[in-house]
Amino acid sequence: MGDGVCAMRQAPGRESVRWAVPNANLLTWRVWDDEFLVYNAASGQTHHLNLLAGEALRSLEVEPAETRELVGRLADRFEIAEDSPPLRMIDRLIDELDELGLIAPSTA
Amino acid sequence: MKIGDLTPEQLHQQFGGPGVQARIGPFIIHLYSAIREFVADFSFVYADFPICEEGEVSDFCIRLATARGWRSLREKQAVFWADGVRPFAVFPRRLAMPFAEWGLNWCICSYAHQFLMFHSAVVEKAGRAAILAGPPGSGKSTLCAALLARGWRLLSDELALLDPARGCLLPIPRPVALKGASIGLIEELLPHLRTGRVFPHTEKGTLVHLRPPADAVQRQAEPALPAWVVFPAHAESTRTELVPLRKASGFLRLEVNCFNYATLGRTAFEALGRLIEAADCYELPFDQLATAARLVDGLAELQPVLGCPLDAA
Repeated sequence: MGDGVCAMRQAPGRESVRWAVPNANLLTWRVWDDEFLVYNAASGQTHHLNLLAGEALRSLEVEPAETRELVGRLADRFEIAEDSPPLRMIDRLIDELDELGLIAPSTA
Repeated sequence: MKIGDLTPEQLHQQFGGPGVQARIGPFIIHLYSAIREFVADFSFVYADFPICEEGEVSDFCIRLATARGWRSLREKQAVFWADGVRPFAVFPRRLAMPFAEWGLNWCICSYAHQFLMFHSAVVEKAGRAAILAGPPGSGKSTLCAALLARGWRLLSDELALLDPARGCLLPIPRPVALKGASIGLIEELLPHLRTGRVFPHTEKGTLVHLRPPADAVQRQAEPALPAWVVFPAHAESTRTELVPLRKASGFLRLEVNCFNYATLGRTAFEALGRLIEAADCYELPFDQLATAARLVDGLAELQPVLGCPLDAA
């Protein structure tokens, strides 16, 4: 996953989107220290994720969430403020996970 | 009985008639050829491999035959068949041995998906295996041979076979293909091992096959557990050192060297993950072969000897 600060660009209504890991993905994980490898059975691809991306994806795999809710979960997980620099990148992170097909808007 | 137990005339009659079934690692190869020169080359470097009992089912049925056609007017040509498939165009008959080796690689990589396969050499000491992975030219075959000279057992020079269920590496101690400048170097390091005929002007330059150590062939049913993954990278004026790699980096670099990762999918991900979990990963830039071999040898000194040998495959 890329680094850098993300501009807080949001499409109208995007905040209310609930993000989820599609059932078809059947993710398989391997975690070493702060590095995550995840295999997506739907695409046949293996992804190398950093700590923030890995924890975000694992959280959404357990339960879908809107962006703000996900930020809250990650803030609790890492014991940092919700407006701390890593969490200000959350929109970019969600975009990247979406583009990789690892998450999608929940239809449930 | 071993291939080397047959006389030249018996070899010609067998290969040119009903064929010879040889056990090569976990595979049984049924090989036919009436090309005398090829039979002599093959029988020399595969002399220590056992001939199977009659009635055993072969994994691959391979035939090398003289080709007909206009190309043969200039130089005799040959063709490689594997179970009715011809993976290559015709080639000069004098290069039948290298093409047989490449063809056998093709057979294994195309069909042996019971294994996760890597492009790498594998050597073992005290039950623990080092995978030497890298692209052609990285120096893995040369380093492999240097480790044989230090008492390591050859599991494979070209192809690592990982059993995904058991997590062990199966030997396939075929001849080591030496190329270019490494030929003289390895003949010097391993003077007790014999090399076959020199093949100049192949697609990979001058090529020689090193007959595998007899001990490695006798123990070809003994698997080993992976303990180290080393990525050698030979370059002039480079400091020779073992640089530890993080697990995820080791995984991703070894994945690049897999032949059938995509085919096996999640099975491959899980098997490779277990392998990397159990193994330490290193980069090994080197310009000094002896130092590089000593560093890898040193890894085995640090590891406890495996108390419970694996069952034979």
